[in-house]
Amino acid sequence: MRRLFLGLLTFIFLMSLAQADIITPGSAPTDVRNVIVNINDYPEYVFLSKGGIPSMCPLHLIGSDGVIHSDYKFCGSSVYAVKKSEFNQSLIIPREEFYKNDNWNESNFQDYNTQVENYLNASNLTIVISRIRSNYELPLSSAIGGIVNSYEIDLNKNLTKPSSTRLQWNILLYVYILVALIAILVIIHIIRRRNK
Amino acid sequence: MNPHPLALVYVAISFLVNFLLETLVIWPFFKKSFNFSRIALFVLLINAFTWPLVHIFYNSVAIVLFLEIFAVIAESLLIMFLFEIRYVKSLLISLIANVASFTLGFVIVQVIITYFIY
Repeated sequence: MRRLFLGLLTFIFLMSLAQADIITPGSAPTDVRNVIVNINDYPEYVFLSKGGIPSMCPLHLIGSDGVIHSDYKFCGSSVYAVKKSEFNQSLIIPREEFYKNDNWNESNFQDYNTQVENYLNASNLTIVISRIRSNYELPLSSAIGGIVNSYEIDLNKNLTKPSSTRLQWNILLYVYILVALIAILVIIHIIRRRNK
Repeated sequence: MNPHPLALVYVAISFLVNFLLETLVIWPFFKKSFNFSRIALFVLLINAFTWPLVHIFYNSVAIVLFLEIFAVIAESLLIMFLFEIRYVKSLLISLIANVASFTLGFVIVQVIITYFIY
């Protein structure tokens, strides 16, 4: 019995640690939107995002809407601030071009990545956000339809967590509240009728 | 914002498994004083209250423990009032029912989802 209990605890613990690149049955990835809310406070700067996996996390230019794009859930992107005067536009490759296999061979891909890496490691760039999480796996039964992470950046700080997080609910929220409400009303009715 | 296309199937299976397991656990405690259909109705109502509330906030493994504590306490109170028993007994029954539905229920739902739906 004790062994069974320990085995069960171990199973639950291991399940909670499971972070493999697969979708757990009964779960689904949820839309996560990471946004820099005060990007327009820095008109003299350009903001770039880049994840850790070269082949799946290209260098992105963040637009004036502040939305940080992330192509793959394990990118764990960082956001870099660079002065407009020092911005190298040639390193930004449009998404559709980046993923075209015809454009790349081993050599030119490596060259490009080395260039990007050197550019990002230069001292004139400031990391303002790091370890951006772009994917959450939630149970299918979750009433959470999406997550919006807002970042209020400061050029002197490297944010590792969103400044605020807003949940977007799906229709299941209303279904759950309605069902729970009906159930508790029926229970109260049964108890009151019995006590009369 | 729409839920996942399989969400309703998952919700139905998950709720049904939870309800059946809790009914099987609670039934032996009250089989002398209540008939099966009355016990099943009470368990259905109790689960129809706690299960949706737990799933509204169920978004990470980290908060499962807190949600399960909520479920145990809420269900213990409802069991106490519906079956008219002492609180200590209802708390114990609720604890057993929830541990069973959380552990066994999780495994059963995963098996059903994996083999019959995916």
